[in-house]
Amino acid sequence: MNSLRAIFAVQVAPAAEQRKAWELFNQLGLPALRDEHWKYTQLHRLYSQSFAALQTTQSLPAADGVVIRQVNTGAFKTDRPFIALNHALNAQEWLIEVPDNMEIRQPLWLNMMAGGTSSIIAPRLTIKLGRNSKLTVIERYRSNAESMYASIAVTHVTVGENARLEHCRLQDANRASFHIGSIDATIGQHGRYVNHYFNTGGSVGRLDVNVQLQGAEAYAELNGLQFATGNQVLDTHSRIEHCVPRARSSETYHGIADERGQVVFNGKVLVHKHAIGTDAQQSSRNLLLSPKAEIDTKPELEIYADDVKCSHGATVGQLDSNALFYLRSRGISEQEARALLTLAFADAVINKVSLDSLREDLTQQVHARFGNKAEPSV
Amino acid sequence: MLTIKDLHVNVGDKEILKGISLQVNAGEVHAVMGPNGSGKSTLSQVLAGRDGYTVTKGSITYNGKNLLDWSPEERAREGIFLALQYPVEIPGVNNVYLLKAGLNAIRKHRGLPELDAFEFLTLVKDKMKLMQMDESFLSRGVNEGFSGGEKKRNEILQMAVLQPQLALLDETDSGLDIDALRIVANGVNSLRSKDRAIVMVTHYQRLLDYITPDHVHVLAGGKIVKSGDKSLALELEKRGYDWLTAEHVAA
Repeated sequence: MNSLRAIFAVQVAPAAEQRKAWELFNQLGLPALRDEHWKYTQLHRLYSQSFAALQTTQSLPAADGVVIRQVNTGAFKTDRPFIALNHALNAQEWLIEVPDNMEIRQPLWLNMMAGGTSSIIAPRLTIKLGRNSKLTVIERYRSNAESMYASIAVTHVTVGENARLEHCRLQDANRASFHIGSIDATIGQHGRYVNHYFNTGGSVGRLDVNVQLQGAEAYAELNGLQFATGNQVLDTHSRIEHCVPRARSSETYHGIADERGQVVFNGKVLVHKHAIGTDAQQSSRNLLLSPKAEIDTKPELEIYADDVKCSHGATVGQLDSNALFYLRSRGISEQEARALLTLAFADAVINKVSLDSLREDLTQQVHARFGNKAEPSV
Repeated sequence: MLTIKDLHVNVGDKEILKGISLQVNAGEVHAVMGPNGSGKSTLSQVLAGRDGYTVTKGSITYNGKNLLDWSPEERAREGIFLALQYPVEIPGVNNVYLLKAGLNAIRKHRGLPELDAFEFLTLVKDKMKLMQMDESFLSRGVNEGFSGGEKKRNEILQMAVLQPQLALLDETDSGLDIDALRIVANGVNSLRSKDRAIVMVTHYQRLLDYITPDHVHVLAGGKIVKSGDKSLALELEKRGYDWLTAEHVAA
């Protein structure tokens, strides 16, 4: 906390809104272990760091047909401390807008790079898709150095009527670093929002993804792969609100915890009173690969409407011993058989990404973590 | 090639095999028959190195070496192949990947170079023709969404590609219709050679109409109660197993 205070103080002349945000942040206080929503996140690791530099400038690429500009945010409301902190550290946000009826073919890559030692970045993005528009965005959080840094990231998404957004977040920070992010998305009528979260880096990686289905027949798909080794803590909290009739949502989260790694998933689906005809599916499947690893998964359904179809399933298990024996009985080593089955489990989520080049990159990245024990040779 | 002496095997505290002795030589085809629960599948699983089976007494030697010292993959690399009664579905691992990884692991073990992509695909496509399988099976997950018959054909395809020295078939005929049975039998017969031995575990005689065994053994209550030639299988078809188990109990 003292370190975060010091970081706020390094700003030469924080804007009035930033000072307000800082006051709000102080009022809200940092989440503690006793806070239900943060009890597994091991935030004490973040709190014990000393931050030396605040990095505010991020430059974003230009993209044909997309309007990208930096704006002052102005007044805002939140009851979430890290959002208040993000506003306190950064007065400006990037506004990324796709006008009505515009289909952007080229995926937009946003590299949220941190540079320097013990730095903190607080990027804020607003992605707005006009009606009938289409966009693919990839947000990548990483650093160009091996030293500790933190990203406190806030993203707002608005998907207009009949618009389609595929939104990937890649969190592959180095193992000393921290990512605390939030995505708040609002989906309009017939809108389609697909979010992929690859939470594989950092000492602590946490994302809160909140989706409001606000237009009839809106669709949200949330996919996540969390792969924790060493002593990583990787945590995703999702919350989908069905506010109107006949919206659909589908969630697929796969967790892999090896060594002393910890994977956390908490997924809430809230179906409001008038949201009849809701179709919501949620699946959290997890592989526990070592006796010292930990998985905490908690699906929650809260339904206030009649005539809805909601399902959820959460499993925690080991690799299938029948499948292991089968592969080994064909001459494949135990180590390779284990790697193959684990990769297949990860691929089930990676394969949901529609961008070929990204899918291949992700597959390679996950393969690399097995030291290429199972590099495809066909 | 394979010598089993006085083999006793437990699953948990329960003794399933109670003293089995069997000699299998290169070039021979053996059929191990018997009623349900007699220990037939246990025998094939123990030979392939499955966990959960404890050998309490006796020995298994393969080409003069102690088979029980080896892991399942070492056995496979030394030339043992088990076609499973219930092949496992493994979504996300390609059939073609499994075949290539297995074949190259075995070749490497024998000091042979890996096959290049062209040689490998030529070999696999040739064997797929033999098993009357569509090439689209290659890119699918291992046994993923396969029918019972397709799974069994896939087992024999793997066997045809991996070219084992000792092939073990566990209830390969179960769940097959007559056309699929003919294809599977054809695949197995194509592998008969003077250097290779085949041990078939089966409940019914009908597989033996297509794959003629040199030796037939009846396993009951964890012991081989009778051995003979192919005429024994025909007798079993007529008389069932009761007369043998009764004879065994009386003895």
